[in-house]
Amino acid sequence: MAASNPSSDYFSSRPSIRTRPSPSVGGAGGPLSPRSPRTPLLSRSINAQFGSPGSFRTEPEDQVVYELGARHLSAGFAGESRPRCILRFDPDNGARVGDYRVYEPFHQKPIRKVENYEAWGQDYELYRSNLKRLDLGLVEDRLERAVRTAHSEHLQLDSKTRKAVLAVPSLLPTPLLDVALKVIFHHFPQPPSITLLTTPILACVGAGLRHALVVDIGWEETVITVVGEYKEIFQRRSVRAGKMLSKAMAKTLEHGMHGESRSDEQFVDFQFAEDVTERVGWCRPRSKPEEKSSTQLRIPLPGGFPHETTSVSFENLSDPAEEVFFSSCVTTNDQDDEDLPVHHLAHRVLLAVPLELRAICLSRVVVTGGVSQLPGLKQRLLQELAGLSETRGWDPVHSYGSAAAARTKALQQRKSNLNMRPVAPTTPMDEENPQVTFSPAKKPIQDSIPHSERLQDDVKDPVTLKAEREAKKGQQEVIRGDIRGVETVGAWAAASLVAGLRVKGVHEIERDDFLKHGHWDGGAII
Amino acid sequence: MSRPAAAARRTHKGEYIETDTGNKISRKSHIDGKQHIMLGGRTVVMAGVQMRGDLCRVAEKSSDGGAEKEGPTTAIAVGSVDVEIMVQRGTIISTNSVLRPPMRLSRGQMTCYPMRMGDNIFIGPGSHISAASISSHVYIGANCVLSPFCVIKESCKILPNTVVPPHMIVPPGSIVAGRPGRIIGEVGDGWGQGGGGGEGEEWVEGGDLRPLVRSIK
Amino acid sequence: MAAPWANTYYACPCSELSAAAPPNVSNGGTPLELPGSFDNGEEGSTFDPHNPRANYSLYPLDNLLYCDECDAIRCPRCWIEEVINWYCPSCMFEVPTSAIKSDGNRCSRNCYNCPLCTSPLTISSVASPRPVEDSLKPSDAARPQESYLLQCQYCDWTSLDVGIQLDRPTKITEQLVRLRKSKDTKTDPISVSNREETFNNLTNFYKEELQGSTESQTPFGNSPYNSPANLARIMSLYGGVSHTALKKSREKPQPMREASSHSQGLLVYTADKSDAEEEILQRLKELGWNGTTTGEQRQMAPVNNDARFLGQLWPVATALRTRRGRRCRSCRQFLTRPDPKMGSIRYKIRLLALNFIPRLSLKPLNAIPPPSNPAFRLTLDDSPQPLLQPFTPLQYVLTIRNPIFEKIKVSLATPDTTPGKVASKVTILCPSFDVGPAGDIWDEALGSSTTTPSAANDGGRKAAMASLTGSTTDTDRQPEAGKIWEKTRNSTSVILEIVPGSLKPPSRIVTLTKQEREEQAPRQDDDRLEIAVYVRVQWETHEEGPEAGLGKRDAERKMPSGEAKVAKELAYWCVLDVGKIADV
Repeated sequence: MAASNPSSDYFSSRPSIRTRPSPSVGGAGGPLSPRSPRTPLLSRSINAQFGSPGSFRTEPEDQVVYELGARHLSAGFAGESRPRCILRFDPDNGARVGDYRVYEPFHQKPIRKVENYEAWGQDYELYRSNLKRLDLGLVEDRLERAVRTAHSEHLQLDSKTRKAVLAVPSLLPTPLLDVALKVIFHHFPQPPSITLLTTPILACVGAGLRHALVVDIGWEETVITVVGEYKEIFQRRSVRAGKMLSKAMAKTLEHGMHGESRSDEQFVDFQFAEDVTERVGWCRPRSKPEEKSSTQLRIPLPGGFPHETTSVSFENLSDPAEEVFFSSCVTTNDQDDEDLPVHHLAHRVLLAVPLELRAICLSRVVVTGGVSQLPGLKQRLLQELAGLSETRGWDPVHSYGSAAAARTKALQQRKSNLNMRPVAPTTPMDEENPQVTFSPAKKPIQDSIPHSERLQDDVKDPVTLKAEREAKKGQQEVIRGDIRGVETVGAWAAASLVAGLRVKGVHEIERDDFLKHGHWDGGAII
Repeated sequence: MSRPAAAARRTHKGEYIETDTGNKISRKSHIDGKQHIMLGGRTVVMAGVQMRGDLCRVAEKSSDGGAEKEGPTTAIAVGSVDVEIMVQRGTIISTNSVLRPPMRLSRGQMTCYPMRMGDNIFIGPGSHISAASISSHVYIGANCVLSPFCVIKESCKILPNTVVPPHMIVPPGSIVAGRPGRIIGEVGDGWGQGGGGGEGEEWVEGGDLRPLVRSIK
Repeated sequence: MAAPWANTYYACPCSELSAAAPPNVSNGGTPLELPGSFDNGEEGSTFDPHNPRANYSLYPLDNLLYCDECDAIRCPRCWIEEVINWYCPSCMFEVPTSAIKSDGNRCSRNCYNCPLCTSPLTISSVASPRPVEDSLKPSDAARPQESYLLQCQYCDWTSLDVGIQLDRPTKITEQLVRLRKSKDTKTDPISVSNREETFNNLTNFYKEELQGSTESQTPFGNSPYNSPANLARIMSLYGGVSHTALKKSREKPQPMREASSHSQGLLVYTADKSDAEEEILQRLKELGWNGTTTGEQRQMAPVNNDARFLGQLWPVATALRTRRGRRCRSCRQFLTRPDPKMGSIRYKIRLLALNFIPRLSLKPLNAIPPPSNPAFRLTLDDSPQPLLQPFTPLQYVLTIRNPIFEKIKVSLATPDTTPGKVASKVTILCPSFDVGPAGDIWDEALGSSTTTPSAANDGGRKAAMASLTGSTTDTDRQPEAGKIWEKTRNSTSVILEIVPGSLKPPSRIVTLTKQEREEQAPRQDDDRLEIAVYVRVQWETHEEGPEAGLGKRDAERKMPSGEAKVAKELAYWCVLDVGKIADV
């Protein structure tokens, strides 16, 4: 890497990440051109399969990764395991500049009295998916302030432009996505492009999987997605999620404080309920232990005198989760489609996908979202799923009524058939095209290709070799059928992972296109 | 450079004693250890203010030279007396504030350290100040506690009812609030810029406090 | 409240909300004949200070800047910040740019904050407890007797609470990193660093996979595989995934495996067994509420994001702060630029809005005693501001002060009833008038002949004397419609008549639905009477010289008269805080 002149020597000797390989490196690799001590060959070849041949990434620039949720904005740099900041939206963020009442010692948050469930916690959320009564301008203002805070206080970016990655919930209403893109594009330093990623896929990536049943228990709704080959295949939602949980916790606390009688009035405010849920809320296992532990927790009351506390039994703190996510009191028949308990929803989603995928996903249950941190919840979900698969199996028909006898007969028959068939080893690849077996000698496929485009019939054909190797690896690897959960590092970290590996995003929106045409023309539709 | 007790010019029997350099000291203030307190001029000490200049480093006259070296090297010596509280010009110390030099237990002995204050500082009523230093153009709201050894740099604003924790250093141009105090923001670029104005409008936080000093009678 | 006029907020016209002009102002017509009030019949054209969005475009005047190239007000939304230096607020050490990102925008020296209360931690020494058998082992005598800990002097948290003890009082960061690593190796099922480990495992795994997929094809530099289209087609054949589907998959597709073990980042739990969750529940029961961390503590620093219990909190390195210059978003010129030298509080460039745009301040007429600046309360027992009684007419003096060196024409407009839930009536008795140019206070006192010939006819001397001595004119004077109340050389006062509305909504026959009731419910600050005034300023300036800032006074003076003048105009919403309305 001898430099031809002293001035370039200085630059090439610096391990600066800003050095960009000159365009001629890719072509000839002439003696004058290489400046960067690292050869760009690797990064180019990673990219070359999918990019056009001429374009290759110029430098390992750092990207900014944002995750937008209904309640928070996380921001940080790609390749790091944690965001630099998690900014929660709360009513105090909305004060005017120069209005410091928020910091007064006995400041009361400007909360409106909440009467219906719809409005519960609405001052604490950035948006809701029902856009009818949502002021998008206000969303933009709030998001703009949050992004500004993140940039100037936490990321402290210099004026270098950086690409951005934005992780959003899947099916985020388009006007909201538009607002988010607008805010980030307009914010300084204006990113040249934003890559969009959705949380279910990221949860799957963050668990190290290609297929998964992603249960995202978020704020407004629980979204259950079947991800296969990093694609969202099937998705259903339920309103049983964080919002309902904190509301239920408020009710539990209220009962603890004032007895059952006064359930009309609201004494417990949102913040307190949420605080309790986050700190000491939990979820009990499916099989109840016989002896009831009578542990009592003393919880200090907010706003009151410093040492005023309320006492709640530890058992009761698991009631809200029980009631909200796994309520067994109501039969599924009475429930709205969007109001299914989480395990029923998961069961229903699994029923809807093909058998092969179902088996794979069943042993790849990934629980993510804010509420997934509730201790015991993930396990409980698996237990419930196991229970459902025991009692109901994987039959979409809930009740056969008078035909039940005929069915058992048919079932028995099927079972014996099943036992006869040897279980073929499968790989994650072959489920959609099960006839393909991986062998270099597999000619019939090649025969179907016109001669001109036929591959080299070489034994060392790299793709085939690779496929074969993969097939071997896959054989021991694919675990399917039994119910198993997999931890994920979360959407933000996965987005950071993806961006850090510099995988080119598919939904990449260029700044110029966005400014010219808006989101619809500029980028792909999610 | 005058001390309150020395050469106080009693113009009229008002609430304030005005010194040659324009310091106004309320007759209702409690000032201990006057010889250790230095007021720069045009400074107002209002009723009920306590200034504890007597909490000074105990001079170990009889001790050997080694003990002298152990003492704080930051002490400001004017003549032969150590100054414990030094206030520059145009500072207003509102009613019922307490200024006491910071001290800490060091090698089994309580040692006091001097407290320095810059120009144009406003200290709100009922505040308790034990800072190591407060730079110029600082505004301190009512009922604040500045714990021992905290350092407030230039052009800061401490909101009312704040408790600044011990040893905290507040960088220039910060707004501090909360218990314990945290930096919650930065003052605007126009901090302290009055830009003229009519009566009463020239008092600006972090600005020149001379008009306010003049108006206190 | 930063200044006496801080109860006045100025809206930067950069957002569509605050840019809307009242209908009869924007529709043209001679602004001087503008009525003082207008019907707010046209929806959305008036600025409602109670709208939650308004909070995002209203600023105190000292927070606003002014771009003299664009002739526009600039607020944080329409300026660009440029970091000049990064520094640690605790040790005031300037951090070089190269180290900022790697240290996580935190001080890498010895500055730490308490994870419980954010106060700075101090390093104190503790005498390590002497082991009993110490005397039997003379070799131990050489060991340092003191160890150190980090201590919060505000809440008495010490690093011993989480088992951190340091050997040296210096290089804290290094020691802490080592301690954290050694803590990791302990088998704690709910260790807070599990996530980092998993993340790193995953990163390595994916990296290997990505590399592996390319290794096999590099030998075939000239083969058809190098063309992406070919390769994709081949891969689609073997993988059974269509070309488009391949493109859609976000990760590196075909040849990648799933992680299969913990070392590859796979963390598995089953329905029956999960160490972590059981451990958490156990600890929850034991430690109770007081053993858990608050959301604020978790979010304070990335290092504590996953800390569920107090015992898992780690000292937080002090976050860096920045000194920033600000540029205009449209013309990119510097609006403020602090001296790059650390510790200096000077500015190289500072274009403050308060030196360019007229300042409004509101005072009650006939207030006894005149309310002093609330920021400078000298005693604690000052009585609070009295509440405004609904339906009682009040008169206020609105003073407009001109900071620039040109005479300005001002026209004011305000909706005759305030928008929002509480409808108060507002009338500006004299909506358009002139304000004289600013100048030296001595020009004013010595007579206005030298610099301000145009202002002489306004009885400048008398008014100036009045303003200097602070005496007001006779108090029995009655305010008149269309007349200016008071005028000094660079300020003009007019009378505002306000009839506060009632907080109670008008009674209705129809009962409200739940949703309506919710909308009707009073929000915070609904009882605060704020008047939005649309201020329109016109002035003429010389072609070359931009209108005078304070620093340009000399240039202005030397300018020969009779040169081509350029008309300029500025318009903005301004919100005046009158006070709280009593709930009767």
